[in-house]
Amino acid sequence: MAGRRDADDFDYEAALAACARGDRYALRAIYERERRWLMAVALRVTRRRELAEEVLHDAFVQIWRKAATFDAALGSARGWIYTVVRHRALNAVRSSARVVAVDDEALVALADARVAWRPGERDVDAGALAECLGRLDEQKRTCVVLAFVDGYTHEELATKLGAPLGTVKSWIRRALLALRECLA
Amino acid sequence: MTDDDRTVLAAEYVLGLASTAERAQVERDLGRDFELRRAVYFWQDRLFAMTRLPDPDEPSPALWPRIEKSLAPAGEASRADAPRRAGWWESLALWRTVSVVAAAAVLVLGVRFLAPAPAPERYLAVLQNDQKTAGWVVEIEARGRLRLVPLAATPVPPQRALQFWTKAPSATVPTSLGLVPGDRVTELPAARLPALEPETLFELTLEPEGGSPTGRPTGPILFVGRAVAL
Repeated sequence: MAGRRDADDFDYEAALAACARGDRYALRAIYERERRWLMAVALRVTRRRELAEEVLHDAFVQIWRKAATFDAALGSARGWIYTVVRHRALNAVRSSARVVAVDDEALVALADARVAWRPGERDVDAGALAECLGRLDEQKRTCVVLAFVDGYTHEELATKLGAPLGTVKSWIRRALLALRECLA
Repeated sequence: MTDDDRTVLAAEYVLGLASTAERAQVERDLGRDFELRRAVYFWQDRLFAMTRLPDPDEPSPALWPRIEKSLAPAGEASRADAPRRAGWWESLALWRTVSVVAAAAVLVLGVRFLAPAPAPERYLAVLQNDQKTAGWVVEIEARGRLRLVPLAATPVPPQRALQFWTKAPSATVPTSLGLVPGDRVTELPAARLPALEPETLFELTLEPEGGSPTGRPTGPILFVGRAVAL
C-alpha cells in the first residue's frame, strides 16, 4: 500500500498541498523522489522511451494543475500521483493502435509478483497485496497484474489468454471483488 | 449502482481497464460522488505496490527543465496574496545555493580549502535539518579521507544511534557508512563510498541502537545535504 509516509519520511501530502499553492520546489521534490519509478511505470506501458518521457511531462503538468483536487482525507498523495501518470500512459498508447505483445511478459510479470516481490523491498510494503493476489487463481491474477503493470485492455487480455471476452470480464469482476474483501 | 458495481468500476478505472468513455465518466463523477471517490482512493493505495514491479529507469536530464517550462509562469498558479508557508522540501532551493553555504562553511572551518590544492577532487556537503539549520559538514578528498564534522553536537537518545548514509544520483538505494557519534568528528576512507559524484546525497538518520535492522534508513532523517565539487 502507498503509505502516507515512506521509509525516510518524505511527506507527499504536504508536497502536493504545496503544489496546489503554486510552490514549484514541491513539484520538483516529488519529481526527484519518484522520477525513476514513474519512468519505469510509463516505460512499461508505452514501451518507448521518448513516449514515456512525454507521458511524464504531461503528467507532471497535470499534477501541478490538479493538485488541489487531491483529497487527503481519503488516501495517499503518492497513490494519486501514480494514477495520474498511469492514466496518461494509457491514453498515450490507446490513442495509437498498439499491437498486443505476444512475448513472455505475462510470465515475467507473474514471476515478479510471486517471487521477486518481498515485503518491505523497494520502499513499499507489498506484503498484503502479494498475499491477496496469491490467493487468486492464476488466470485472474494474470489479468489484474497485466492490466495494472502493462496496461492491457479487456480485449488484449482475452487475446493473450485465449479466452472469450465475456469470460475475461467476469474473471476480472470476481477477482476484484475477492481482492476487495482480502485487502479491506 | 450497487456497492459491488461501484467497487468494480473504481478498480477498473484505477487499473486502466475502463474504456476511455467510462474513464471520462468516472472523472466527471468523482467530484460529486463521495463513495466512488473513496473507492478509487482505496484501489490506488491498495494496488500501489505493483508500481514497484518494473525496474526503475532514469529519464533524460532534459525532462525536468522541459516540465518546468510548461508550468504556469511563477505567481500565476498561486494566489498572489495567499500566505505562503515555507516547507522543508524547499531545501531544494537550498541545494541550488548550497555552494554559497559551502563557501561560508569553508570560512567557518578554516582556510584549508582555500589553499591552492593540487588537483585531487574535493567535495563538500553541508547537512541541514528540517529547519534548514546546518548541523554537519562532510568534507571529502576523493583519493583520501572523508570527514564528517559536527557544527554542533547532535543529542542521541538512549537505545538509539546516529547512522550515516550516502546515495549517489546514479544509485538506487542509500548505502550505510556506519554509526557515528553525535558530538565528534568521524573519519573514514573515501574509498568506502560506493560512488562519489556531484549531488551525492549524505544524510544522518536516527536508528535503533546497533543501526538500521533492514540495511536501509528506517528512522527520521535528522540532517541531509548534497555534495558539491570544490
